[in-house]
Amino acid sequence: MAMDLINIRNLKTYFYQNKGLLSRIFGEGLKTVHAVDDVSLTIKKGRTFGLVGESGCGKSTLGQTIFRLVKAKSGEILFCDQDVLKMDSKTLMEFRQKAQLIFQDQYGCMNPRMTVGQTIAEPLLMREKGRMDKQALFEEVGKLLQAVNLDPDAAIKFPNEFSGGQARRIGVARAIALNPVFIMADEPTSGLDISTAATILNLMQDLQDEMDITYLWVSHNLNQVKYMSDDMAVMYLGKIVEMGKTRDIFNEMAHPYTKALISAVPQVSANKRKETVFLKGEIPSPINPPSGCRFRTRCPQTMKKCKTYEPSLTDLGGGHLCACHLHQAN
Amino acid sequence: MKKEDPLLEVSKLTLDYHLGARQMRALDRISFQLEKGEIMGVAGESGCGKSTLGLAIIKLLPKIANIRRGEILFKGRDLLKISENEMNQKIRGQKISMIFQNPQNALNPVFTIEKQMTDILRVQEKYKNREPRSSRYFREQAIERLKSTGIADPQARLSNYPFEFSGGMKQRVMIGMALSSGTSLLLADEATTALDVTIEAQINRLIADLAAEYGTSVLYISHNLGVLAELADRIMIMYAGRIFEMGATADLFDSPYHPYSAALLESLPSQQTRGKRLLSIPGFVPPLDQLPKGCSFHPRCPFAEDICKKEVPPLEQVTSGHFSACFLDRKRGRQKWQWI
Amino acid sequence: MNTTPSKIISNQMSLTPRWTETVSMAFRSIVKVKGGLLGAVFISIMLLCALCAQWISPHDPDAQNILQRFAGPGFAHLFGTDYLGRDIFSRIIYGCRIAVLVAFGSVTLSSVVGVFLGVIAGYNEGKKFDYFIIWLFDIVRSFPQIILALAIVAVLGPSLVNVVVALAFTAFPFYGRIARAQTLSVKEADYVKAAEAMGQKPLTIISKHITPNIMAPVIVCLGMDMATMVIWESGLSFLGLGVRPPTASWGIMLRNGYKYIQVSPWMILWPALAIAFAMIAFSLFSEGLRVALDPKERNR
Repeated sequence: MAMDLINIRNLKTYFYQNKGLLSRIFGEGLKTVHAVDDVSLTIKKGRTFGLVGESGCGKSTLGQTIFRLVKAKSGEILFCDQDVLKMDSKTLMEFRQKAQLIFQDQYGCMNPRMTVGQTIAEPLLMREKGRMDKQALFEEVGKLLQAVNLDPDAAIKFPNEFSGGQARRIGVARAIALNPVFIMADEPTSGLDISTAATILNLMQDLQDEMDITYLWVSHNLNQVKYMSDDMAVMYLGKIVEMGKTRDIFNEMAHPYTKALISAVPQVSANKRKETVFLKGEIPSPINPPSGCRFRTRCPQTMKKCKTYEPSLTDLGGGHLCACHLHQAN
Repeated sequence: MKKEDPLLEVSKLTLDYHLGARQMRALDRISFQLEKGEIMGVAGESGCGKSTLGLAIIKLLPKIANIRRGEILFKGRDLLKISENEMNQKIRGQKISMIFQNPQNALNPVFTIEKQMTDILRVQEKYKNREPRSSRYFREQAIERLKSTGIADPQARLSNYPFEFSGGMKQRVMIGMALSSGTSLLLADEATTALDVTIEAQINRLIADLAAEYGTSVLYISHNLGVLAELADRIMIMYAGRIFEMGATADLFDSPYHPYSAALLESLPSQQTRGKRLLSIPGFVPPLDQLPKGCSFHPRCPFAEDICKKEVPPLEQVTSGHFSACFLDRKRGRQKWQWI
Repeated sequence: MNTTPSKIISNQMSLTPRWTETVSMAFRSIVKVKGGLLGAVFISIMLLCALCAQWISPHDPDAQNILQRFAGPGFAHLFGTDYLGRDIFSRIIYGCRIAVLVAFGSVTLSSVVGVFLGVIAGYNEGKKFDYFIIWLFDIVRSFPQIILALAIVAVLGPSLVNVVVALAFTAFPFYGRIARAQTLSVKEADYVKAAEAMGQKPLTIISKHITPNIMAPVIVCLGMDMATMVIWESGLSFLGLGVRPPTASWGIMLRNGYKYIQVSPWMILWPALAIAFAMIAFSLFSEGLRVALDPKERNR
């Protein structure tokens, strides 16, 4: 059994709108966006944890909260039994070197005024506190570029001189520069062509095999999560509605939202196709989420008690959790 | 019009982009036919010219584009010979409509949905017959169109501003404006790429339903092979400005003739199981001004032979209704391409 | 290529980015814009005059010659002489030195201080320090600029340094505002988040990632402000609050000349033309900068 690397317990991240005094007095008052609401999950070491959901469901916010790029309201994020949310600035910096991010926007995540070499050298220099032999640094940068199948000559170019797939690989090179144990990949293939995306997926799998990296794979692409991840969670409006082994979820999806989501994914081969469950309407605003079960406004199987009682995550056996009244005794 | 005549017939369409001194062949001898009520999917990687094809048909090309030769016959008339004025008054937005990837860019944020919809309807009405109509008529028309796209409570929604609509709803508005009983051809350029899967499924169902209802033909451009597989009757695979393969959807996806089509399918994560490596085609799509001689795919194709480096393979019919542009598959016959 | 890749990298790659790269890049591309090139030529002429005044000017700018008062332009005195018989051409050239010194000095001082405060305020958005800085900017900006400059010079006493300080003080909140606004957008960029997530120190993030990326609008402002500063220096000198006479300054020359406008229009014409020349030079240059720094404009 693999060790737990990250243990998130009852994490809540809220954003506030209309923070100013005037809008509080004259406007509609303080609005709370429940971006991540009471989420608990465990990411096992060396595995890939897929996090799926539609835009606005809080999956990216959850990822950013782990890195403390966004302030959490309450809860615990245990990384190797240390609470990230309570770390002082020194331990936090150490944690941030062990955990890395790969961003959705492959160009936006690189300083346009820095060459690729400078971009990749930055974390290395940081670790050595600026004291690093120039030649050693160059070699290290060259090695990292080769590790992601780029020419070492790329170091003297600027990010905008690269294609989308190459730029993405530079982002990967920077992320692995410090030998991290954990990488969060936020939509790592968005905006890439099919064959380029395949290259990135292969690369990231190879790196995982070589360096024993744990991935948190945030994506809306279910096909990809199915292919990449060992465990997964489905989020809806800031809450996890279903969680468990990827295989189990795809084989016996329990939550109506998961069913709709998986059935909506277009499949190339006709024999993998499922009858599409069309959901009514659109995702409600996270400012005023529906009472009871948050999915009830779009659910095809909504019941009376969904409106008043909020379903909790219950084990359907073998670590397959689902938050739905359909699957709860009583 | 005879019954057998296709709605749209593009033949040998060749188009260049001039960017400074660079001359790029974005479309190279594109020929295909689109029957009435048919949904044709256009697939390919970015830069393959699939968006340019859509823009060329509706004649909204940027100034740097230059159509070299070819014709686009729409109901028997060559669109390339029609004046811009007539295009505006009789064709664009009425017979042929287009929807784009970003509906938010197509709506002006400072006007209500009603204002924007009725404005367009008014202009179209003016072109059709000169009789002025009451503004109530246009309002009802707008409500009718919103209703047809499945927007709940259209009366109240009309007075909203675009920011009060979600991405999916904006795309519904655009579809409502693009598709009406008079539309014969809808060009959809990555119309659902920016949307979530559940919304994407809704919108694609809407397009298919409306097209069936009005008998509209659709040219559906997308890089998402899955979407095309579920939606389109026929598929066209493009690469570097050329059609590589064209055929009935199930036929093409089940047993592709062209090695490029086969490779694209192999590199989809949905086609593989966990742990198995995906196929990544070696090399990259060549820039359009530096296309290799012969078949433009040959530097990336492990099966390439001498002839591929010298001559451009023509698009030929391999089986009934199934076209492919590859020298090798004629020799090989219906054998599967073994990429991995 | 015979050299190994790592050699190529080590020869051409600098370890840390410098914001000066932004500046040098801008100046390299500015000459490609027509107006910018003209402005750059004009400014070079002014710089040349300012640096080599003693060699270029044919006469001592302060040497009086009562016998040759109000002489018109001619061979002996290219631009004529003033009411004390001083050579106007030489005084214009020496005045250029004052104009350039004040323009560059005050703009440099105000932009450095303004950008520094603005970036730090923007990075600490919503904190007490940010409010304090905004409050400071707003107080300074609530005075009409020229009145504030007059007041400061009046308190400190008229001198070249005080003029520079006064003008810089009136202008720094504008740079601060621009820098802060730019920082607010740049700090949301993914590369800043990436640096934070990497564990980079805030000061390094500010100097390496934020400052180089907010400089473009600031640099454009620099050019436009220099033109304004030339005018204001002349204004202050005209009012007797600028540099001390008899130092040759265009403002002082205007002040001396307007009394004799009917006797000898040359006395006011030349300094006025000089000021106009400087204005055009800086304006063209800043327009060139704006185009050069805007990637959308560059390809047109």
